[in-house]
Amino acid sequence: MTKLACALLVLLGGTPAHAAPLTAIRTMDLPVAIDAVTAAAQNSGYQVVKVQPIDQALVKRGYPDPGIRILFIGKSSTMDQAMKIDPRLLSVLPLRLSLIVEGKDTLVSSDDLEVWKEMFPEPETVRLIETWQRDLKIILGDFSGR
Amino acid sequence: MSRYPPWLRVLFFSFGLLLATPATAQNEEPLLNVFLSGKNIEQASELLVQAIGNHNYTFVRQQSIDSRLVPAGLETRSVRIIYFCNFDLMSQVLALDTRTAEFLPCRITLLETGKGVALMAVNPVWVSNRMGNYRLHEHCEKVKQDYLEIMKEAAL
Repeated sequence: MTKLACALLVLLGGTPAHAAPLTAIRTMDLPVAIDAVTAAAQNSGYQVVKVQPIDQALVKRGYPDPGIRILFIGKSSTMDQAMKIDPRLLSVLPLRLSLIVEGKDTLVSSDDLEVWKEMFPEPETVRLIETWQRDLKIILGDFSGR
Repeated sequence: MSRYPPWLRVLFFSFGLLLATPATAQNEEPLLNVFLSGKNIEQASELLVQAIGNHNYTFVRQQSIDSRLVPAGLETRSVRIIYFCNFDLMSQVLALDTRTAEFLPCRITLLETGKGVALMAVNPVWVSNRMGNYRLHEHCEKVKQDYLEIMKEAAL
């Protein structure tokens, strides 16, 4: 039986890695969290391009409230770099942060950029993605007070 | 009462979920691409918005990729993003897994070149496969097919 369990563990461990987005959580309601993420993004030279009120859009149409808003953030140099280095990366811009209500907390989660490095392994492309990952990590760290 | 300990039953269940993952899961490309030959970005946007409506999706907005990042009037004209969604589908997938916010609302990036306009969208099946939630697959497969049909209709 133990051998069978070990074999299953090996099989499960051998499957492709699942998504691992950057996340941060704080005890605050959604509007306050939006302000905090906006300030954290600005501290890193990013601007909020759009707050997408998915929760309000769904509730207005009679659907349950998912407690989710999306913040799109960017800076003009990001677009220029993607255009120059690898235009395929334009499809993930502006960068996206999901804000999800979890009880009294708000969880902020970035898109999973790690998987893009696997798909587009050219060194310059990877370096650009790593720059964005580093920025997002700083923004989420700033938001969570770390 | 099962003769297997709880941890092993969890392991069996996980293995069952793994087997239930479609065989095509690992063969997905990250981007969906269609090229509109001989069109400029204005024409491509118009065709795309029309196709979005024809496929029961709601147009949300369109913007230059650097909108609000540079002074108004100085935005890049050659790269545009069109956002759209199907609220019913959006509510369903968010109820299944809030991580699907990663590809909501739907967006297509338009890149004008000398020969036409390239349409690019992140493949929702590729994203959901990485999330490892088999319950999302059917919905994401539908959204992927819708993306392709919308982009192909715009290219006709």
